[in-house]
Amino acid sequence: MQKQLNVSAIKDGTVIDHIPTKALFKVIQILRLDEFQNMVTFGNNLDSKAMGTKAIVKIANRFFEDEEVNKIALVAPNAKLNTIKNYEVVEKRVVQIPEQVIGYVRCFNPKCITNAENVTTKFQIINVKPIEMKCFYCEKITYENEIKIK
Amino acid sequence: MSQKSLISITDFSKEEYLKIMELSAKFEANPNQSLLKGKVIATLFFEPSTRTRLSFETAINRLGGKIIGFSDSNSSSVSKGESLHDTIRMVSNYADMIIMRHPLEGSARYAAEVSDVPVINAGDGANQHPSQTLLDMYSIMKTQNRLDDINLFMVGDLKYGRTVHSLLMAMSQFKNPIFNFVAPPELAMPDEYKLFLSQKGICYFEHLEFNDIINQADIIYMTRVQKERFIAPADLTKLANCCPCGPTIG
Repeated sequence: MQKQLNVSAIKDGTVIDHIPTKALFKVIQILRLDEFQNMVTFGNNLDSKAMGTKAIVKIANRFFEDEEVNKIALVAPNAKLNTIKNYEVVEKRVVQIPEQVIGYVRCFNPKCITNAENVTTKFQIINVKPIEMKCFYCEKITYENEIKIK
Repeated sequence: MSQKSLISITDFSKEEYLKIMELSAKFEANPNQSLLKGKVIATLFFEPSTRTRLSFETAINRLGGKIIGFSDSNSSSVSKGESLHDTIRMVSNYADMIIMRHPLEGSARYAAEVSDVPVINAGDGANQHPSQTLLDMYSIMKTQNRLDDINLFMVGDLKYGRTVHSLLMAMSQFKNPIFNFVAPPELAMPDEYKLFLSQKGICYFEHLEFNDIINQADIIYMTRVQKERFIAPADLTKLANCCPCGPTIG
């Protein structure tokens, strides 16, 4: 039987694979793919041997620096990045949780100054599994299950 | 000191605490000095305060400085919707230092970030009150003649009381502290501070009452219920009779 791709292949660009299904739209939000002009295709609830179900995003003609793509590690810690050139995978990378999280996560503390004024949020990662991060301003810890993308 | 602003007690090392204790003793012996002569100090109290504001203003006067500021955010442009950012930027052009109390947590760190002059945190919500902690440590040092090996009982509102959090962080830097937390479950010490102690291998115990164990204490640190931190008044009423220091004690 002929194998069929659920999400069509791209000639050049980046494939982000092994995204948890619940994190797909957060990944789109963090990487601002909704504002991206080139072709972006995604699939959700796809079969996965390792995860049961997974999501995948394919971004044409867009390549990511480590610092940029590591932002998604907070919501998709096992995501894998494949760089595609002329339909071939030329590089495989695994996302890594950054030491600092700046600007894209909301502090869970409603009384934090960052939720009252136009302040860029800053967190220091203090634990990786499960993720725990300390707000630079209010010093409260945001736990993995409390992470909300701005 | 290596830093300009005083924001969080965690910004200090043990050596710096001890240096401040030593300097404090000198100031106590000779309080009237002219170290701030010609300086303008802004005291910005966005939240009511009696002791902290008067302590700072007394200190500024004794050191020869001049004071500008407000003791109520309703009498400032904040009531017209001015942002903290704009208030701090404006005041930092007038004053040589800003002393600020604000109800939002992290506000002092943010103020220090946008200010051109040093900022002293006189309390930011339930987060930090470093000058109170330095005073508490000085009192412990004076009465016990040491900061190591202290059995410290913290009693009352350990959930919202910022001074207990700051004092816990500071005392954990000294040798063999033992912490005893006495509070109803609703006002118990937050998990993050208990985790902090566990990770440092520091002993702590939790109690609902302290009548049988009070004689073990070197220091008993009593706090009132922080009624200004309660969002639902019903929660406060429920706790009024179960805490050794009720909500009406100042």
